[in-house]
Amino acid sequence: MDKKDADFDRRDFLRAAAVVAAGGGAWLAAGAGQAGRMVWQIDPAKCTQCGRCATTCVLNPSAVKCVHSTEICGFCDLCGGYLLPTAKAQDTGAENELCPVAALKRRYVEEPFFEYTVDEDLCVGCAKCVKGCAQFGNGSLHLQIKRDLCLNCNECAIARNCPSKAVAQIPLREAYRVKSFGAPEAGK
Amino acid sequence: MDQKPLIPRWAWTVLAAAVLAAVVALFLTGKPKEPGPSFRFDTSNFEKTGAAQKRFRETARFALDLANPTGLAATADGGLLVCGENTLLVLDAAGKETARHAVAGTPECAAQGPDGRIYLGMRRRVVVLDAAGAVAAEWPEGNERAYLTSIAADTDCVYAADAGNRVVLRYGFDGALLGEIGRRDAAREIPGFVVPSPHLEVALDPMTGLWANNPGRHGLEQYRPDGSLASSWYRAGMTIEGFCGCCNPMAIAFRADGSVVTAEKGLVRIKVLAPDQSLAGVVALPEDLGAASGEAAAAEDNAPVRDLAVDARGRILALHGPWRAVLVYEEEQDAAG
Amino acid sequence: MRRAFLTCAVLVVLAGGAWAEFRFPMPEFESGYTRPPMHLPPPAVTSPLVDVALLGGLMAVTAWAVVKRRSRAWVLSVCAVSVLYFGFYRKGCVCSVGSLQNVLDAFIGSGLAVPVVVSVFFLLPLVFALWFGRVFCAAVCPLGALQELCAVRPVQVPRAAEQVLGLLAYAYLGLTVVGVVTGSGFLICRYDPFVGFFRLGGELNLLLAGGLLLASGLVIARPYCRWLCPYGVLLRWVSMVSKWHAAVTPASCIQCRLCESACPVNAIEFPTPADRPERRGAGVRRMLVLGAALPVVLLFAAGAGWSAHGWLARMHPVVRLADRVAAEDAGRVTGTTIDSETFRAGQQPVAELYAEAAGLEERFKGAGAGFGAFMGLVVWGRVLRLSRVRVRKDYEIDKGACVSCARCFAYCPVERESDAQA
Repeated sequence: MDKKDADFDRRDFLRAAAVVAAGGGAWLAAGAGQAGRMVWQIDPAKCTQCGRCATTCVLNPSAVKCVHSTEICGFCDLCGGYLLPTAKAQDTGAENELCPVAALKRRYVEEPFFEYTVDEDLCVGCAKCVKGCAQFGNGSLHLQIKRDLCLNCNECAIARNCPSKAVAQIPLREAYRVKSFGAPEAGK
Repeated sequence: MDQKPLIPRWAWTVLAAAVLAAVVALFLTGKPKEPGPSFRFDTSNFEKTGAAQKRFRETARFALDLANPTGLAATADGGLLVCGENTLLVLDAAGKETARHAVAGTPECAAQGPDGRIYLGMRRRVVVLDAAGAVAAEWPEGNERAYLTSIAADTDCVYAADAGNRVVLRYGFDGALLGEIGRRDAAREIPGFVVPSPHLEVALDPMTGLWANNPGRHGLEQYRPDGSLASSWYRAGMTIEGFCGCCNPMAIAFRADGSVVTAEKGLVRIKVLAPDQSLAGVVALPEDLGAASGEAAAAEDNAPVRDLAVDARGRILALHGPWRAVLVYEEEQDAAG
Repeated sequence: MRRAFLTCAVLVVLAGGAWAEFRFPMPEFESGYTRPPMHLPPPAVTSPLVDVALLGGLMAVTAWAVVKRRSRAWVLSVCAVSVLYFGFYRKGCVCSVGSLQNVLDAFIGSGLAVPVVVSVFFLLPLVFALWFGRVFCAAVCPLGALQELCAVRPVQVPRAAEQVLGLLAYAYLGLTVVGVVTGSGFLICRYDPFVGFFRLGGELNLLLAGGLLLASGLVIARPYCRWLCPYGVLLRWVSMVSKWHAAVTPASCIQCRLCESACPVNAIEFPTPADRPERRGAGVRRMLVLGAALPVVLLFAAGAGWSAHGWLARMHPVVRLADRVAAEDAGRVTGTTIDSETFRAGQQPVAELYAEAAGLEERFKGAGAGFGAFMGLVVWGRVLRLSRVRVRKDYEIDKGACVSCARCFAYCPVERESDAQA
């Protein structure tokens, strides 16, 4: 008895049933489409500024950049995140800068305030300035994963290597976990 | 008809096995590179500066049954006041609790007036308690930027440091605002307070002169009651003689001989400076305060010393927030080594 | 893993005082200076619909090219498109191979919800395989397509070697499952040897591994697909029951033997000799012996896996951290790592870390036993399959092993009925 390929037979039924069952299972696994797109973000409260963000991201240079929350910044002349602890003078001399790639820029605003901005093309996400700012200052400089650079890997290599488990997936609508003024841990 | 192949078939097996073994070995031995020294920020070599000039040692530690201690002040009878979350504690000279008063809200600072009344600096206004701890008066509230961080009671007025508005307020005992001190004024050559974080302190020296710290300028300033600047000095630096980081000192208190005790954050240390601004002695270094790099307290809180005071017996008292204790330091009696 | 998250959540609450609320008013500027806003660009997102459409579309084209059109040129063209789009443009993520981890994770791992796209990427190749065989492997998978484009002078590895080396893929699948179930992480993503080329950078070891595979891939076709790919194991199982799988001959086989050396992955099964190789009784006896051996094999393999739990547990980062901290405390190693430094500066007491690591090692006992049993079953199954005497008259395709690369079509001299009649 020849079985014509075009006929729908018992095996086809089993195949179709398997697909439906698998599809339903996968739909369940997807949580029925809840939460929406998830993105990787650093929690600045947990970050310990170890420097691995710069070296473990699969991209080179890293998708992690320093962001500056100017609402929290004190605009100090002697910035703990800009100047080396051993800096001889409080100016923009390269020998005084803490940043290894000179990505943090200093600009005089008015007496006695200075504005500090991050040049993202240079920043590698090493967290040196973040640590200086956190230790001596208000902690306005902090690292965050840039959504236009990040590939949104299935398993973030930085998340896997973070010693303080500070990198986690959050829904896109809550994304950009940045420090802001007057709000708990914010999100923009 | 199969010819004998040029390369025997088993050679491909060996190649395949070798490639797979190499790949698995590469998988298992892979590790991302660690950040090198140019990416690490390390101030641990500054933590030991001043160890040779240590002249004080911790003689007592008063444990506090208080959540979130915020302020410390010495009382005339040798005891001390400690304020914290919704509470004001009165301790005796041995650190035993003699009274506990509930307060609506968390005071940031406290001071005892000459008449025994207690002045509490709540975030935006001053609340006055009588000696029994009941609310005697609530002074008018400041604007939405007001943030009182320190309070000191003189013989005829009360000074409150408003870190939010960057000014020292001078009140009469009835709560009337007599004047503002320290606002930037080029004509009177007052540089103005630079206060990046809520640590503006006022303290009275033995001659009841009013001193305030200027954290952004790394120094101290003395003002007359009319608001004019009497004297000032500044010294920034990571070494023990200077004030480290961007905003230090963050707490000051005067001793009977006119020397000033200062506490710093970031590189957490307490030291005593003579009236001529030279270093008189080191009280405590980061390792004594649980703030050496790598210690749990340092990672969490860069300003564990919340407040300083000098009590009637001349002991230096430091309020340690994370440890919830008052640390008591006394000068070493020529024992040194 | 869950406990680690809880600990961190508690830590955040405790440490919250410093960063959670920053209410201290900042300086007011007299010169009219305004603060610059933070640069927070939106994500560079490719519509997931495009990915899914391309996935399905390319598989459909490949299926048509392999089953209907029988054209290797088409297959190679789709390979190129796939390498360019799924490889270099999408940088290898989202990937069907890795998606199996997400789906597993949703059910038996941490319970993290899986995005719908990932589920589709997991299912769609399997669905196509159910009808058309491993057309995903043929040209749509960027890893496979890259290897296909490199396989310029493929040779045949001896069949015995093929059978043995193929077990490595099952082991990889098993270890991946262990990794997901115990919360150790996603092994496939970490050990993807080709993604470094697509991203133009990556860990040196993985780039070397990828280079090695591609270089050897010049002569040994698709080494990753045949001997390492864990998703390939699933596709193999599904493809075995596929309905319209590619066949070597378009019409009927004439046993001309020309396709014997055609398949680089040894997927063409030769006809059995005309006379029966052995008596039926011998065959039945062998099957009975194998059947009786199964529980013994499973028990032994599960036991071996169970006893390897100490070694397997090192897969988990918490266990490795506990090892490091213990070694430092005992003085067996000098210096500290960033992990041990951060741990010591944190709030968790050392005893708790050791307890957590010990708990994880316990979990690895069960996982190891399961892995062992799985491998035992796989090896037993392979022995069973090889022991079965199949009477075969024509040159047929092993539907599980065949990656539908369409190489063998050119070897077959038989013309299509439609062509012959024309």
